[in-house]
Amino acid sequence: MTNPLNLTGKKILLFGESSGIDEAIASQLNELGASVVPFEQKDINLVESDLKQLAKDKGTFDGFVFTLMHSDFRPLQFVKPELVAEILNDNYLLFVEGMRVLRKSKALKNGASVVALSSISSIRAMKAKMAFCSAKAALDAAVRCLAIELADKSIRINSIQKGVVDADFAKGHIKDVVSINDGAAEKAAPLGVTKAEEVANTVAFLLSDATRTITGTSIVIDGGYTL
Amino acid sequence: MNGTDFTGKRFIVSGAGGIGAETAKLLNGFGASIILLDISEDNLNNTLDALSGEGNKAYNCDFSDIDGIETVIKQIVAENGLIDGFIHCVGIGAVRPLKMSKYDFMLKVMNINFFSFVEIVRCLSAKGRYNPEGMNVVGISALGAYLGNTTKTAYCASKGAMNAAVRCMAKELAHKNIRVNTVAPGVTDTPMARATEDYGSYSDGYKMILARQYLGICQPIDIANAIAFLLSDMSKMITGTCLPVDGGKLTS
Repeated sequence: MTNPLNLTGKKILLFGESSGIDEAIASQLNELGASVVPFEQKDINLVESDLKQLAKDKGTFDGFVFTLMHSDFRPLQFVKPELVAEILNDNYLLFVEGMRVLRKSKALKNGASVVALSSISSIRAMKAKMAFCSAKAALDAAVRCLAIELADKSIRINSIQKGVVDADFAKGHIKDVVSINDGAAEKAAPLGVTKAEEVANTVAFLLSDATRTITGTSIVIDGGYTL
Repeated sequence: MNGTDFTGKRFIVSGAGGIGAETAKLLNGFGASIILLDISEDNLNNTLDALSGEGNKAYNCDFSDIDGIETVIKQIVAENGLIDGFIHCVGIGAVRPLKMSKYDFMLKVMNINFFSFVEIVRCLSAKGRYNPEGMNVVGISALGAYLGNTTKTAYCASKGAMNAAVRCMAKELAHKNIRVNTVAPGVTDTPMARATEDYGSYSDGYKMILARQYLGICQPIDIANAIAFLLSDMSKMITGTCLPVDGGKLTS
């Protein structure tokens, strides 16, 4: 029997940064037969030139995964416009610019699948993370709109709303390590903390042809936190 | 104009304890006559005693006996006249592990929490029973319609069913000037919650509730106020929806 998640021969663009989740995604996609082309650029003014060059060198893509995740704990009185702009840039604007450039330069094949990494912060309130919550909600809204706009090219676009992932600890997304170690995160999520590999599995699922008619939606992977 | 002036209105409140009692008293205070339905004579008598003015009545009704409901509704309309609103506060907060949740138990919960609601709305929406100028229906749903909890399969399913039915009934009854909505309370200080939740001050259970329901435990009056809004013309373009009154729980 063939593996429905088989990605053999697919070339996937991975727009992110070096993180545990990115490593897990690249490793799982490789395992399933895909070749992964990493891309890093946080300066939005350079995305167009860099991405065009990359597409010229590497050819068109069967998939695009956006993993940038920039969270910050900050009370409202310290959330200045520069911070909001930076959080929006990293979590949302870079995805939109990436999509625009890929589309304009025809670097996404017809039938390609796009996966954006979002967060349950998009659908739930988190104290002192207002800018991040807003940015990921914007990302999910963009995913829904682009899914309709690019459906005539059979390009699918979805997002993954992740809860607490083990790799976040290393990145400092979760500052309150003490309470996490107390088991608070486990208690909040009945199935416990999600592993980076498990996020990678969901990415692979959405990139695969097994999900040919899933588009414009968000999959929650949070161990049951939002229940 | 006072948006919640219910002078001359006749509301049926099913479930005369907890949220139902508080709702009956609030609506009565806004001028409405209240018709109480409950299986408990104590609940009926206690709440009826707290109401003032003319036209308040109490009727005994077994909500698990769906076939008997139409007789009660017919009698209510014959003895009191047309109905302006119905608030379904009856419900059992059944807690039972899945392995013990057999069909007869599931059916009992569905009968009391859900089928009785649909049956009363069905009976009331017949011509000559509701005020043709408008009737408003409000069901007490629960956050369980959206969230899940261990040992609450029957309860959450019954409330999910209620919300789905309300969307459909709202559309079907709109041309009769009947609006149908629900409210979804968070943890509320009622006899039901005291039996199923642990929220004594400073207990672990209380801290767990506050972690999500960050405005605190709801009081019955908080739910009654939302019901009054949905019964009033202030909400006349709102139908088929569910209003969470939950201290922030659903969105955090």
